[in-house]
Amino acid sequence: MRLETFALDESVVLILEILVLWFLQIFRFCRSKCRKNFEMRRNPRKLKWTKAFRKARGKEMVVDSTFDFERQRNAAAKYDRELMSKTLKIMNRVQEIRTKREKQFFKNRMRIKATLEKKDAIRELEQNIDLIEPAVVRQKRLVKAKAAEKAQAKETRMQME
Amino acid sequence: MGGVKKNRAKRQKIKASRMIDAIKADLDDPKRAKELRDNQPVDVDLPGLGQFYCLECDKHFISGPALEKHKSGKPHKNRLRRFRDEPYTIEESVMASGQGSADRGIGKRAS
Repeated sequence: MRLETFALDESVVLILEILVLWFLQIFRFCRSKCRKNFEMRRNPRKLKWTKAFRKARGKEMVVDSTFDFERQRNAAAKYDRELMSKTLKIMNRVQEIRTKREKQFFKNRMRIKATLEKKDAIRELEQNIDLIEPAVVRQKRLVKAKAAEKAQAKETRMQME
Repeated sequence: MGGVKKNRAKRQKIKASRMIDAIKADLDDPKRAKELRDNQPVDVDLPGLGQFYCLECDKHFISGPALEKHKSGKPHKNRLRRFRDEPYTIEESVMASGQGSADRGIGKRAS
């Protein structure tokens, strides 16, 4: 869920302050879905489809220098032809770097996942072994194996004597 | 959760209620919380003349026992859980959309 703030002129803020004190915070939503959820007082950090959730849970990059390029600035920049051309040039490059870093981040995240999945599978096997081999059958097999072992031990002892 | 979205009357009611972060700010200030709980103005339109108020849920009740009963109930306890986490802020939302810098700080991890 994305909310954005207006950067208001100081005089406008003052007038607003006099008119309606609680109206200082203006919310802007990326889509109606977000607005509806906001009105339902839901916490974006707890909704799985929001960026806030993904970042809070470490599913996406949070700290990265490429984010600084899209930072909101309250002071307007004066027009500068050179700066403009440079900015246009660099935009694609920044995006390229970011996608690359995101890819690497995803890879690192998934590396842990494989070991976790294996651990889970082993645990499930141990806990639900009865589905593959019922308890009674296993008990029987173990008894049989023990008996066979005993018999073999006896045989070897006889041979030694 | 799905029930609220479909039920229009319920949705309107929630929409009219106070924001979570505003309530949290009041709760964090014990003096103000006490003031809000104990010294509610008499309002003829509200249940119980507005004298039995649950600050956390922003609800008025008709009597003291009714308020006590509400406080021992599940909806109230579920509501209390929401105040454990830091409220969501605009700064955090800007960060989440990838428009903020690292030094603005991010929200605490929800537990």
